[in-house]
Amino acid sequence: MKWRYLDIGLIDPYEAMAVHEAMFISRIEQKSLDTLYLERYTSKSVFLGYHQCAEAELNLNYCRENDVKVVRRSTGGGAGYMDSKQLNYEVVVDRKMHNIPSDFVASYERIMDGFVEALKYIGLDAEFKPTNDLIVNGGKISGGCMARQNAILLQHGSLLVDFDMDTAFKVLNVPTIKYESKGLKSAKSRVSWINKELGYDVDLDELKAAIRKGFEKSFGIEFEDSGLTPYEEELVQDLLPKYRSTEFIYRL
Amino acid sequence: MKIDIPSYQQGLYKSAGGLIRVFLKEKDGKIDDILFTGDFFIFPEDSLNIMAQSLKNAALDKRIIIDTLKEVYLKENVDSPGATIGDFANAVMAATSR
Repeated sequence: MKWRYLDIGLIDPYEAMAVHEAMFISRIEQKSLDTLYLERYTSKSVFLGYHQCAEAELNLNYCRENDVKVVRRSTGGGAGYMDSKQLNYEVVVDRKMHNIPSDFVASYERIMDGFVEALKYIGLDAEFKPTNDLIVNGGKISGGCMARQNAILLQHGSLLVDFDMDTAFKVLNVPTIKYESKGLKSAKSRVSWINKELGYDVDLDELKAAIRKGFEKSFGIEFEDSGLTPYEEELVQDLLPKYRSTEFIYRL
Repeated sequence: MKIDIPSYQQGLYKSAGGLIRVFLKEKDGKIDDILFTGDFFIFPEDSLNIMAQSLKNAALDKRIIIDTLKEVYLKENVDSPGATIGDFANAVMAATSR
C-alpha cells in the first residue's frame, strides 16, 4: 500500500494549519492518498488547542513583546510553544484501511508506533504514554492531537528535536493545578527532546529518513514523494484567512 | 464565544484527559452563563457549546449538572476521552463560591 510522503520544509505557522486542514478535507473527499507530512516553523509560535482560552492559557503580553505568533489549531489538546527547532508532523489516514482502532487512546498509540519504530533507528527507546504522549527516559518528547471524520483520521503534533524551555514557560501560563503536587521544577523535568536524549544534535535528514523507515515498518507501506495537490493548494488559500483571523485565534 | 473574563468566576479541575477550565456566572443559585474551556479532547468538537447551553438556568447542584450533561452526551453521542461527565461537573462546582 502506498502513502504520500510530503516534507514541506519551513512554513509559516498559520499557513501550516491551513495545509493540515486542507490535507484532511482532501483525504475525506478521497482526492488524495494517506499521508505522512513533515514541517518546521519559520517563527516562534504558540499553538492553542481548539477549546482553550487564549487569555487564560497564554502570557499574551510576552507573546506581543517577543514576536511569538499566537495560532489556534482546529484540534483539541493543550498549548505548545514551537520555533524552528522542532519537526512537526501530520498523519492523515483511512483508519479502516489500516485497522486503526476506533478507541481514541488506542488510535493515538497505533499512530505513535510509527515514531517509536523511527526513533529506534537513531538509538532512542521511546514509549507511548496515554493519552497522547511519546516518552523517552520519562521525558515527553512528542504529543499528538487528533481530528476525525468518518473513517479518516488526522493526527498532528511535534517531535521536539530541540526545545527552548525557558521561552516556553514564559509564553504558557501553566496552571498550578497541573504541577502543584510535584512543583514547577518537576513540570519542566517532564519535558525532554531528542538532542538532549542523544547527547548531540541529530542530523535532521537522518531523523526524517528514520521517520520514513519507521512508518514503513510499522504500517507495512511504501512511500511516494509528492507535494500538495492543486486541489489542496486551492483549499489552503481558502482556509488561510480563517487561521489568520483574530476572530478564530481569540474565539475563546 | 469571547467573554469578559474578570466578570466570571473560574473553576479548574484536572481530569485524566486534561485540564477543564470553567468560566461561570451564577445568579440566585443557578447558572446564568457558563463556558467550558481546556486542553482535553471532545468529539464532536462543538459539543461544549451544547453542554453550556443545556446548563443555562440549571441549579448549581452537582447531581443536576451530571444528569443534564448525561442527556447531552447521549443525544449528541459525545466522546471526551479521559474527561468524564463527573469531571465537568466538578469543574463547574469548583467555580462556585460555595
